[in-house]
Amino acid sequence: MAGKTLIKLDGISISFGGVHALQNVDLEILEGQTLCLAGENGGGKSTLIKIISGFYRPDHGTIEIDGKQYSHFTPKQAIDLGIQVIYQDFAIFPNLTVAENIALSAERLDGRKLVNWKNVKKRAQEALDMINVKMDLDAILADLPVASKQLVAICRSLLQHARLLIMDEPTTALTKNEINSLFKVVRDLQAKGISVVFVSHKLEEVYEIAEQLVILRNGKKVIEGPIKDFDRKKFIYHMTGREIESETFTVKNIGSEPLLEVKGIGIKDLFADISFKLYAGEVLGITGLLGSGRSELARALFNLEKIDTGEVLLEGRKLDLKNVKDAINAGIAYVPEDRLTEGLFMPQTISRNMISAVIERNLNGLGLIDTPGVRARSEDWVKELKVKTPSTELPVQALSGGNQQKVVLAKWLATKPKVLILNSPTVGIDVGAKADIYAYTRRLAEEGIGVIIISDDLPEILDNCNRAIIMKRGRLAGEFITSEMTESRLTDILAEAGGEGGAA
Amino acid sequence: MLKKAMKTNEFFVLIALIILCIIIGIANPVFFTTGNAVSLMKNSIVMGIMTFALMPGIVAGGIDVSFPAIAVCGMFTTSKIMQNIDYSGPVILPILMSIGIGTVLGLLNGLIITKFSLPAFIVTLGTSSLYYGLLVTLVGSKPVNRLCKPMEDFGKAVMISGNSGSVTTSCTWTFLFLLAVAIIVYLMLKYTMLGRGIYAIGGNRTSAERAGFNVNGILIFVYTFIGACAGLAGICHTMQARICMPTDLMGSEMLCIAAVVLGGTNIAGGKGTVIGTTLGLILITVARSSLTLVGVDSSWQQMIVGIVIVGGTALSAYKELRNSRKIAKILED
Repeated sequence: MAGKTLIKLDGISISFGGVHALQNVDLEILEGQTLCLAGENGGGKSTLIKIISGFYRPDHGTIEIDGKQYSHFTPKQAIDLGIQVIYQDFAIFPNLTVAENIALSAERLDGRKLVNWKNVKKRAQEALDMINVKMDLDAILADLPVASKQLVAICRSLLQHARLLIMDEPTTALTKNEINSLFKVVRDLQAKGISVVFVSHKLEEVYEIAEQLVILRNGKKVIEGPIKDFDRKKFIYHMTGREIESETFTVKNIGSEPLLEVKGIGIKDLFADISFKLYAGEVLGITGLLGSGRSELARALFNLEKIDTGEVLLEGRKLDLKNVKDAINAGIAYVPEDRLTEGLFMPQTISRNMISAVIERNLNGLGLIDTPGVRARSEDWVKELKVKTPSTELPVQALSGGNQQKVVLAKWLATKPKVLILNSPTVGIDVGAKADIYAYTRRLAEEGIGVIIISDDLPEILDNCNRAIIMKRGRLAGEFITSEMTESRLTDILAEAGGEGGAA
Repeated sequence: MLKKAMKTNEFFVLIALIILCIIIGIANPVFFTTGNAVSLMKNSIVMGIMTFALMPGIVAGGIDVSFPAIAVCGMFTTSKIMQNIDYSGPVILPILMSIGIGTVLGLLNGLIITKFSLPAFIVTLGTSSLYYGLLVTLVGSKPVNRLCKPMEDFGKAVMISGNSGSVTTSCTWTFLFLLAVAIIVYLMLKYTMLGRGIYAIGGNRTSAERAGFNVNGILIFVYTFIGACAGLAGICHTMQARICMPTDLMGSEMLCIAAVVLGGTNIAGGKGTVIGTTLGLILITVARSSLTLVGVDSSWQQMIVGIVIVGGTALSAYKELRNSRKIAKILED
C-alpha cells in the first residue's frame, strides 16, 4: 500500500515562552499511508499539525516535500503543496450552502475574483461524487448533522488537490454508523494515493483505520511503529507514561432500598414509559444511539426538561422539582454533555467554577464570597481529582479538556449529591484523565452515591457500570448486567433498531 | 418556491410594509399619489446610501456607528472649501472630494479595528466623537449657508417630479447614487469572492482565516467602503438641502442599523440581503415620513418609529430563536 515518501520532518523543535512544545521530532509520511498520531492533550499533536500546515514556524528542523527542503511553510504554501487539515470544528461556514462550503475555497485558490455559481455547484457535485456521497447542494450547513458537515469539509479539501489530509479527532462527535462511513471514505482516499494523518486517542478506531502509529508525549516522539505491534496495554503505556489497569467495576456494598426510583416517566415527542431503579453504591449505565432519547432522559432527571407523565422518587419520597435549584437541593447533580457551553464559565477561575453551583454555601458573614475558604476547598478538589494546574486561580479555559471535565465534576461534587448523573463524561478526553475520572466515580459509588453514566461509548459502559439500560427511539429497550454482556453483542442490540433514531 | 419565500425574513417585512401602507393610505389617500412616492424617494436617498453600505459591514460580523460623523466631515469640509474658493467647475469634483474624505476616515476605522483587534463598536463609537470633534475644532461649526454654484445647481436639478393635489414634489439626481450603491453592493455580495468572503467572515471568522481568506484585508475594505459611501451620502444631503449644517445627520446611525436589521440581516453577522435591506429601508422611510400624513403629531413620531424598530427586530430575533430551539422528535407514535 505505502509508496514513496510524501513528506519528511526532520528534527522539528518549537517552544513557546520557554516551554518546549516539540523537541526534536522526526516524522515520515508515505504516499497513500494512513498514519495515526496519538498522544494526550498537551502532548504536542496540535502543534505538530500546525507546523505541517504552516501556521507555526519551527525553531529548528526541516520539512522535506517533493525533494525540496523547507525551514517552514506559509499556510498558503502548505495548501499549494496539497496539505489539508480538517479541524475538529471542520472550519465550515454555517451560514452558507453545501455547494459554497465545498467549492468556494478551491475557486478562490484558482485566483478567481468573481463567483460563477454554476461552476461552484458543478465542482461541489464532483467532489461529492469522488467520495460517493449524496447531499443537497443548496442546503444551509447549519441545518445539517455533524457527520455531513465533516463530509463537506473532506470534499472541500479534495477539491484543493489534497495529497495529505490531516484529520484532527474526526470521530469525536460521530455515532458508530457515521464513523463506519467515514472510515469507508478514508479507505477510498487511501486507494487514490492520498495520505491521511488521523489524530485520535481512541484505540479501537486506530486499529481499524491506521497502518502506522506515532505517539507523542510532552513534545517528544516516544514511539513509532506499525499498528499491529501495539496492544492496548502498550498503547496506553506510551500515551500516558504509566500503567493504567482497566478492570471491570463490581458493586461493593449496595443499598437495600432504591435510592432513585423512576416510574413511567415521559415527555411528549421525546420519550415514554421509562422506569428504572438506582441503588446507592451502584453505577448504572444508560446507553443508546444518538437520538435515542438518552440525553433527554438525563436532562429530565435533573429537571432541565419537564416531564409530562410519571414520577420520580428519591429515597422513597416523590420529587416535586420546580427548577434546577430544587434538583440540586434534593441531592441530584448533573454533569452535562457539552462542558464548554453547559458546564463551565470559561473565563472564570478554576476555584470560582468549582463553587458555582453552591455559591450560597460559600459566603462569609457579610454575604460575600468567602474567598480564602473557596480557595482552600478548591485546592483540595484539585488534589483529589488530580487536576493538572499550577494554581486554582487560573481561568478554566487555560486547562486541557480532561482537566476541564474534572473541574465540572468538582463543581457538582461540591453540591454533595446523592445521585450523580454523568452525561458522556469522557468525550474528547485523553486516556489519562479518563482513568482518573473513572477511578473517582468508582470511589463515589463505594462511598454510597448512586451514579448514572449516560454514554454511547460501549467500553465505558461495560467497564464502569454494574448494570445498564438500553434506550431506543425514546423507549426502554432492555436492561442487562454488564458482566454478562459483551461489546459485540451490545453493538448488535443497538444496531437492531435499524440505524439511527429519529433525531438529526 | 412560495412556501420557501414565506419563511424568509424579507417576507415578513414585506407584509408589515404593505399593512403599514394600507393603513396610512386609508387614513389619508394622499399617500397613494405620485407626489408622495417621489417624496419618499427623495427622503430615502441619504439614509439609503448609508444603509446599503452598512449592511455588508454587519454581515461581516462588524458594526459602524461613526458613519454619520464621517458623512458630516465629508460634506462640511467639502462645502466650506468649495465656498471659499468659489468653485465653478464640474460638480463631480466636490462629490469625489467628499467621498475621498470619507474613504480616508473609513480606512482609518478599518485599520484601527483590524491592527489592534478591537471591537468595531467601541472603535467607531470613539472615532465618531474624534472625527466630529476634529471637524468642529479645525474646520469650524458655522453652517455654510450658500453652496458653490455647481453644487447648488445639481441640488436644484429635477430628475423626476410628482403631484399630490396642487403640490408638486421633486426628486433630485442624487437618487441615482442610491441606486448605484444598492446595485454595487448587490453584485459585490453575490458575485465576487470579496463578497462571499464577507459572508464567510460573518459565518465563522476562524474558518475564513483557515480557508485562506485575507480576513483583515476584507474587513479594512468593508469599513473603507462604509466611509466612502458616508462621504457620498453627506454631500448628497448637503446638495439636496442646499445648505450645509454640521449638526445634520448626527444620530442617524440608529435608523440605518435598524433598517439593516429589520431587513433580516443578522446583527451577529453571516446573513443579509440587498432585497431585505431595501424593504427595511422603505419601511423605516415610510414610517418616518408618512406619519404626518395621517395626522400623527410630530412628538409621537419618534416613539412610533421606535416601536416599529423594536417590534420588527424583536420579531426577527424571535423567529431565529424559535428555529434554533426546534426539538427533533424522537418518540414514534
